[in-house]
Amino acid sequence: MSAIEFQGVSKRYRDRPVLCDLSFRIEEGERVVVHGPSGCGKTTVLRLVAGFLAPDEGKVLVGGRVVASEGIALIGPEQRRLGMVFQDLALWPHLTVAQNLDFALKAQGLAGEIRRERLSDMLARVQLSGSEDVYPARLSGGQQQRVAIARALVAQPLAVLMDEPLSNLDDELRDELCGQILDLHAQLGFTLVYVTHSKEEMRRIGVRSIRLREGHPAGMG
Amino acid sequence: MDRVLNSKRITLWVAVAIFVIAGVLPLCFMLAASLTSAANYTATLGNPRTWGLLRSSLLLAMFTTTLASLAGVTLGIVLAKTDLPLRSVFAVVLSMPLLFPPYILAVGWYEALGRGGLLSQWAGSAVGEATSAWLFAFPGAVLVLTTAFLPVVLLLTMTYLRAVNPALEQAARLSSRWPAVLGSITIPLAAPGIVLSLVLVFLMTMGEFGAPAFLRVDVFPVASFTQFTAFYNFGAATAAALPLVVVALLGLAVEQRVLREKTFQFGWGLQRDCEQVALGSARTPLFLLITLTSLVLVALPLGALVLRGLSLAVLREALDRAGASAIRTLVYSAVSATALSMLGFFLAYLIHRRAVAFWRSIDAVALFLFTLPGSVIAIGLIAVWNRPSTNWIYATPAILVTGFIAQYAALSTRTILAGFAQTSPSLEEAAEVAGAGWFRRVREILVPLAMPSILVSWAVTFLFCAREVSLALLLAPPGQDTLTARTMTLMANGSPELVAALCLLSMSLTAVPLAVYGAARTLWCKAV
Repeated sequence: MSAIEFQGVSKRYRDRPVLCDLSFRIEEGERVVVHGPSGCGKTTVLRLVAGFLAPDEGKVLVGGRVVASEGIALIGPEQRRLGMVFQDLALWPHLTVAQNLDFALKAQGLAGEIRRERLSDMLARVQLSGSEDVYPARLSGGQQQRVAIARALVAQPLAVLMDEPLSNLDDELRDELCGQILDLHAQLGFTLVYVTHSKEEMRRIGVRSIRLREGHPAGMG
Repeated sequence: MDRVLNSKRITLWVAVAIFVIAGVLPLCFMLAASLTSAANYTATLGNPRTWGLLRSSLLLAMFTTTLASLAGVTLGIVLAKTDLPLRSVFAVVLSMPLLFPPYILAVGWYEALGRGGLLSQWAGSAVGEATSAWLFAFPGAVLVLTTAFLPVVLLLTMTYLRAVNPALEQAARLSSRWPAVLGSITIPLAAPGIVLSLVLVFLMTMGEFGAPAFLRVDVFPVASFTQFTAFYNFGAATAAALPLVVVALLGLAVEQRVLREKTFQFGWGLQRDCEQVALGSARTPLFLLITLTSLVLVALPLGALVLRGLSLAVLREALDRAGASAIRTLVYSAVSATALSMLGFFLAYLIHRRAVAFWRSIDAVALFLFTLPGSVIAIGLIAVWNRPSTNWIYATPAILVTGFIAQYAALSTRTILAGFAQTSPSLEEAAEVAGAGWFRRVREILVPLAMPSILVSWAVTFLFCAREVSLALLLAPPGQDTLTARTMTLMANGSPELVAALCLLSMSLTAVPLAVYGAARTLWCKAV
């Protein structure tokens, strides 16, 4: 069973085509990088997978289920079992680090004890133990990045989507966090769809890549 | 370089001086005047009636704020965050009461529920008697003021909800349904705006004079107003105003605390696509419910006014008796809005660039003056300017314009500040590096960049000046009254038809120029 699949997906914004007849398949546990020049539709691919957009034509499958088809989102984002790291991180500023992570766990209806265990385990994995009660604004850029990654992973999603998560960091920090993402993938074995325009990140993160050009698949490797 | 720095500094200090003279000085004079004799305080504050009125005002403000917040926040969420059909139309219709002074709505409700009103004609005089008795009492005042101030909550809730970064909601949508996302993420992020709206409604109700006076509900502002107009007891009037000043200060403290600690949600002008909740099967019932709400809260009182006053003969009489006041209102409001926008521009610049050490105080004092009842500001201005040497201000419409500047500087400053927040300081710095002096930068860079917010500031302040009652009643020189003051005066002995026609004239005075402004702005935006 594939983790994520696009079958002939097209998407237009107003009259401008963004994706044209895009098909690909990502297997469970795979690391795939979606790359291409600015405006080629990379982020649109992630938003279609997440459920923030519905394709005008074609089908999107997540975990083997058709989640959106021919302009209709059949399954809402909250039922797709996905995690996502946004380009601007989108950490909730009014919630502490622990509350940011706990939001997704609460939605799963897990008991308090299990939630606490998972939360501290995930914070330990991203080296943020002891930061539970800190608000995101008090953390450094790299720490905020790690909170965003931990939040995406803590509910044990089927796949994690990352939208240029390291684009605003300096080379050293980017290198360190790339290594951390790879370590977490090795430990947890999640499916990773990673959008970037950086060749260095593409080389390090991606086992396989999907190259887009003006909304068309321009190559898969 | 020195000359450039000096001209900039001088301009900003002149703006500060105008603001201090118009707004701060009157408060200082008022306080000093009331302290001349302790008898003012003992007589006024020792009177049980004073505290009874204060209790009544506080209760009125609490009930009005509670109802306006329940209705306004709910409607704000539905209109800002869902795919309800015609939501922009509903937002405009439900905001209409903000265009007129609350006493016009009171007259409208009287025409709907009072003796001889629409309901009485339809259901019989016994029903009319009962609803009239209900209207001319505390519940009626709550109804009228809730209708009048609901738009404040609605508009601020909508604005703050739309300013929430959609990515924050999308991050939550990956694990939760919309109700949980709204409850845990969206509404808490918009909470500062909602709290601000509640503080404003509370303080505006506390200071409201016209509607309770029309409905014969005794409230605190009447005490200060009566001491001044009936007995001309200046010291007692200022002492009676003191509790209102204290309540306004408390409200301001709440606002400052809530907003200063939670400024994370501001995302004005980033043109983000707002996330929308699909209502699904709830769409039709909600549409019908909001249609009904709009009909009852807005169309009913305003429609009743139109039915009563829309006759050619009565409108002609209204124009004969108050036409000159209407023209004066337009002129005073336009002059004041222009002055406020100019002052607001420089104060907003000063606050945005933190050009003086006390920039935060200017913002806070301006907001404090906005939340003070007009009668308090008017009494302060009279204390400053009512002397032979300054008769050129006190005995002319300049005193009214000064009052408008004091009361509404916060509106123009904050509106233009929002415009500055969307532009980078480097745009001005680039002009400075290119050799442009201060005035050239203002003329060719800063004003054009802030022009949309300057236009909004002009429209908003024009509206507030045109609908102002307390300042107009107390400050307009003899023979120079405004339409709102003239209508209040004629209410005492005019026929219901004439009063309704005067209210319609007042409504058109604000609605027509704003509609023309809105149409012109839309055309200009399309052309650009």
